[in-house]
Amino acid sequence: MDAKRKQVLISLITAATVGAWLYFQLSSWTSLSTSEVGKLLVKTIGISIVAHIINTIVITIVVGLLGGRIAKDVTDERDAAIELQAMRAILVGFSMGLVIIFALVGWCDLGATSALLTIFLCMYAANVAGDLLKLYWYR
Amino acid sequence: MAKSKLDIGNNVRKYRFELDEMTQQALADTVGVSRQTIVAIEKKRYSPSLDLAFQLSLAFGKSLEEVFFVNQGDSST
Repeated sequence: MDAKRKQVLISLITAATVGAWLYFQLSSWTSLSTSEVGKLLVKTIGISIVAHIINTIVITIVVGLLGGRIAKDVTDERDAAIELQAMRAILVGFSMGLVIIFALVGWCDLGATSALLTIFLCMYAANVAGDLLKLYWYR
Repeated sequence: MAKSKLDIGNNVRKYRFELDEMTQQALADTVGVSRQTIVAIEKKRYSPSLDLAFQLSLAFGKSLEEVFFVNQGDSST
């Protein structure tokens, strides 16, 4: 396994962990106030950072135990181009989501709490899509 | 002006084998890129920058035109 794929794999596992945590936290989101949702999202960002660190350590140990060798991490022009393209895809996805959410707020009376949550979920989805694209382009 | 994508071919795999069956990793280490990039170039999934193209041709001791070429017949110009 090469270092780049390992990084994307860790990122996807972290996204899955955070997604599961958020799913259980939001089981009663309709009763949450805007400030409570704000606090929850800040907590989620903190948890995703901690989860990323833990997942990095765990995956590195697991790959080591399974006898897999992580190839030396070399970042070359192709990796830079892939990173840039993935970043562009994330930005386009997130921007489109944001426009749709603004339209929903403006014309369909989407509440502030729901809008806040949807923006976060949109960012989350764009990030996961970007990681999957990277995995595809690194092949 | 209409732009058409050039069909750029290469002899990287051929010259790698001519050079004592050099491995993809060894070539990657020589030119300072990852093995995946060499794989992508050989499979024509990635066109290298001019800088990397020159580095590859220098690694093989060949001219740039010998390593990289345009498939005239296949290109839709």
